[in-house]
Amino acid sequence: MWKYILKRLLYMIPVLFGVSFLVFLILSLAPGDPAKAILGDQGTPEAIAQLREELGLNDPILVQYFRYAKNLVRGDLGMSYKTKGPVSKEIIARVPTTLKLTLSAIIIAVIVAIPLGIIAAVKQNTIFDGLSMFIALIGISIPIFWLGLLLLAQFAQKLGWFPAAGADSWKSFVLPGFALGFHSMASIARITRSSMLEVIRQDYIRTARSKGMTYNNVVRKHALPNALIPTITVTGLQVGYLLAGSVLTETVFSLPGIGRLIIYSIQGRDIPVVLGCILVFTIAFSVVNLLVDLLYAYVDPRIKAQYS
Amino acid sequence: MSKKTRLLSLALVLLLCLSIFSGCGGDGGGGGETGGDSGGTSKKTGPAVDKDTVVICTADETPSLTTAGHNAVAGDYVNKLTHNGLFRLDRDLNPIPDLVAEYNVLKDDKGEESIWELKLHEGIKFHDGSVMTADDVVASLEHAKQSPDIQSYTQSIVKIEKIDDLSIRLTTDGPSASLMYDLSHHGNYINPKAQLDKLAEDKEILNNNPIGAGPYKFVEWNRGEQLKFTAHEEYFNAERAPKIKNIVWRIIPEGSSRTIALESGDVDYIIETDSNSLEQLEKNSDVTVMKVPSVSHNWLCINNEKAPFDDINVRKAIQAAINKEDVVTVALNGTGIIAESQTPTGMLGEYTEGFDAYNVELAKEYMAKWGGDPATIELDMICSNDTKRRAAGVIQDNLRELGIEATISSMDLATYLSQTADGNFTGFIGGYTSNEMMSFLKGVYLSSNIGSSNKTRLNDPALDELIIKATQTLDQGEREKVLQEATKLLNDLCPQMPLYQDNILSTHKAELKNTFITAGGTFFAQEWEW
Amino acid sequence: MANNVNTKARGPIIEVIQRLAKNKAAMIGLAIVILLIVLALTAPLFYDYEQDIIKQNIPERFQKPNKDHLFGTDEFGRDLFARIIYGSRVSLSIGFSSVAVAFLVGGFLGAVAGYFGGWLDNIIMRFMDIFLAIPGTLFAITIAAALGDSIRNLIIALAISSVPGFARILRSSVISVRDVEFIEAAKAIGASDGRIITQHVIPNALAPVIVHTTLNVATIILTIAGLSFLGLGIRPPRPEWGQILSDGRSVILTYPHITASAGFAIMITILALNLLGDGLRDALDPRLK
Repeated sequence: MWKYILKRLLYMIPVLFGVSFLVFLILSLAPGDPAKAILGDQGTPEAIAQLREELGLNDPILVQYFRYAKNLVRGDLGMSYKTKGPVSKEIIARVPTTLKLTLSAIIIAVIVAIPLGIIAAVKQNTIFDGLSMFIALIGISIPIFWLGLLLLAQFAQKLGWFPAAGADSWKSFVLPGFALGFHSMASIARITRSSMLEVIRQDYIRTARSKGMTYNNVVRKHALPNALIPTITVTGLQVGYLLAGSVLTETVFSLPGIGRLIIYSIQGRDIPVVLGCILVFTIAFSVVNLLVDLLYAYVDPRIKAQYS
Repeated sequence: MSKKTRLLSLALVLLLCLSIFSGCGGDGGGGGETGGDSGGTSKKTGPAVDKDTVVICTADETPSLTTAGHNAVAGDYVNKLTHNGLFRLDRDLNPIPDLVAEYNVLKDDKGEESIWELKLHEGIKFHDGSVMTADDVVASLEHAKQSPDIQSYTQSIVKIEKIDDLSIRLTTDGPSASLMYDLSHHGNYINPKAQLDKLAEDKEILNNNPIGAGPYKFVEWNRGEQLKFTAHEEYFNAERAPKIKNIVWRIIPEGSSRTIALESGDVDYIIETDSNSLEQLEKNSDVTVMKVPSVSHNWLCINNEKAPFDDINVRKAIQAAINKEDVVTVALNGTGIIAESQTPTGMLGEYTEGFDAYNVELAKEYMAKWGGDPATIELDMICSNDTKRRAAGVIQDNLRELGIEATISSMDLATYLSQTADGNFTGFIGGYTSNEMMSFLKGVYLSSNIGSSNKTRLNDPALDELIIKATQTLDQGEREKVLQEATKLLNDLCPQMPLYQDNILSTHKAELKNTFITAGGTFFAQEWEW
Repeated sequence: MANNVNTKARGPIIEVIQRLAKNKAAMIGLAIVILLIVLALTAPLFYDYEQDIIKQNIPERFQKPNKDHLFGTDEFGRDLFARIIYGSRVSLSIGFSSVAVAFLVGGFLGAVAGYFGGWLDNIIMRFMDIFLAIPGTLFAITIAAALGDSIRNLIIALAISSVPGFARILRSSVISVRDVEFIEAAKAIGASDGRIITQHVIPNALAPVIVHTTLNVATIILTIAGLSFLGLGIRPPRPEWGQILSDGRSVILTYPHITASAGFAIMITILALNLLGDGLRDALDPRLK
């Protein structure tokens, strides 16, 4: 088991370098000069030349990348072109916001989705089922930033229940968490429903029923625990979607997180910051995937056997 | 999912669509009024005002707290809280002494007025309690001269010398009408020498711990979210000492969110108000709206080196074909003034003669004079934000009248700046902000700035000569004439198509008093009071 | 899967269609998708691009929905209904062509990796791992920002971020049929690798690919909307839903009809594609029902 975890963690290292090289290449070859972006309309050619020299932009791209990679090995993410400060500082300052956003999205998604999925399954083919799956369908098809804007208009502007921007209290994360979590909620509700339905049809449930247990008890004691296994997996897999979705959500809700930082940095060709953010996302993504796999193995002994 | 359920949910979705749509339509009739009402009644500006604090809200975060390490407007606002320059611009954008108590301009060997002797106020205290001396000034200006970000504001100074503890002598390359303006720029603000000396071992010291003599001390910076400042108790100028103790500086990039934050009382002052919410805010009696025509000049810039834009008739045709009223309506929701000259209105040297107003017939005459086929004209207008895209949208439609099929492409800021500086473009929507005409003309039209800020790539020796002459004319009346002459020449040459000067739209809670914004967009937070 | 694998392919296909036809929700999804495609193809018959779609009428800007303008007008005073209808051309064609490119490239890589296995498989899939490690939308944003804003570049950006998904699916399908007897038989009679891949392996991998394609088009249309929101969309004045949606966002508090019309257009399309995709999955894989 530990060997497996170690192997997976070690495998992340070449992937991370691959990712950083790929993104570095894309952004370096793209038109747009970081020095000009920083100096703006009024930058003189001499100033641009001087700044390019300071930032090391005159070296060949491969040299620049190797310099970056060498620092990366030592855990140094480099200096931001724009603020001229360490990238790690920029990122660390913003991690809590993105973390809180992602967590609140997952919590809101799970809290809403599981009851929805269970009701839909237990009351299959009734109006409850229809309503639940209707909400789920909306969740899958609505563009996330439109939902965000609608929520802002309704709950921040008209009703004034939640702040329109900022990240200073739990209230700040309710609307963004809901906007971001809605899509995941839909997926989780659908998988909960279908695995519930599958479990309900199993023999042991029929056995329990025939022994005279009430329907509600059967559902709670037998069906639910088994049906939730796929739900957990899907929830884990949603994290990747949530990380990508945080880019749009943080933009709509003016949250100071990594997602917004990445957009600004792409636009300003602040390559070290973009790389830093993408690496953080990639690590988070890979670690969560690993956790999901482990969790899966934990709940399903057949898979556990494969690792040893 | 069973088929029946899916069907049911589908029906519900369609129902929802219809209901929301009809809802939209229903709101339609009274939309404007209800919006205003809700602004005025349901949301009184939040909790009681904390008289010790003002929460300022802005769209962009400063890249840096240093004075010389950036040239960003967002950074300039913050620098003005924490630091001072030797000079500053007053409410009418004229340079007046700030840290300097008195100054003299002397003649050099050649008889040119190029030697400036400046004397500091006595007992100016930095935030750390140390007293400002000539050494700090010399070190700060030397530091500024080595900083690429603000280089264009230090070029005229050739020599910096200390005379005594409070006096400094600056030598410029010839008489310089722009020196006082340059010294008012944040790049030349004064930092303690003690800090600058530590730069070698701690590159970040000026950003992590900015110390100036400005009205507010830096407290903390939560990146991406907010900055905090507190009043500098020992501010050197008692008359201009800060009245409100604390400043919270919040960053909210989305325009509508800033409006909501003000209306709900979360913030007290918005630096850049979204023009879409203006109507609604103007109806709100708890909110004061400030609309100031800015000196920022915005235009469709055309690459004068590329055919057929090297032909003056083509340029004049395009310029006359653009309906600037419509541009202002669509791009700025009507909150701006249309351009009436190649140089901004509201500055010394403004001049409108020789500039064609919107006139399609005239435009067609110019096209006829040129004689080419309009369908062959390739004009791609590069835009880097929504406002520019909307402006370009109107122009695109206008130019179709002349038979020109212009295209619009979106680029992010970095690409836009690179492509336009390198001359890899036919056209773009852009602008230039400066506090006075000389730096405007130098930046936008001087031929030596081709490749950087002269994006039209206009190269006109007569114009260059006028611009240089203006910067060397210290007498204001004389200088105005030279500047007007330059503007007139530009109106004749029509190097680009000026569109508008936007309004600076700042809004704040009505209880906040003594607010003022200059046409350059500067505000003086230390003067505010509740 | 194995029972689908035989030469008399007509039987199972008819079976699939019959199963699909019984699924009413999927049929409605299909009907909406067909309707959208028909609208997209015939829009030029109803509307003149110059006059009705891009011609501005500033005095009539921001009209709420009324009888002349069913969905109201936009910030340039253009009829939103016409632009939404016409916009289906752009959104759908970008969606489908990105998926087509992703399918061709990803499918090829996946099929080759799965069929040959060994070091080739290793190299291709490790490369795909790198792509997969970056969240898709984020990758599309990076590429779109780097390439610039033409439709071709947008398709490239969207396609690249979808390639790994297709590669994975084809690879696993191919592996599942690779060692089946009839392929060995084909090899034995000396059929070339290319022939085996195109004639035998790919047809058998089609089922999951069709499902993935349908759902992927939906994802891509949502991603285009997201890119437009970030200013990385397509060039004006061409109407595209994501662009209309993002143009309307600054006035969502005062004129919600602009975002609403584009938002619903996107929503209904995604919904239809999802219904169809789910239906196809059920129809193609009878074990699920």
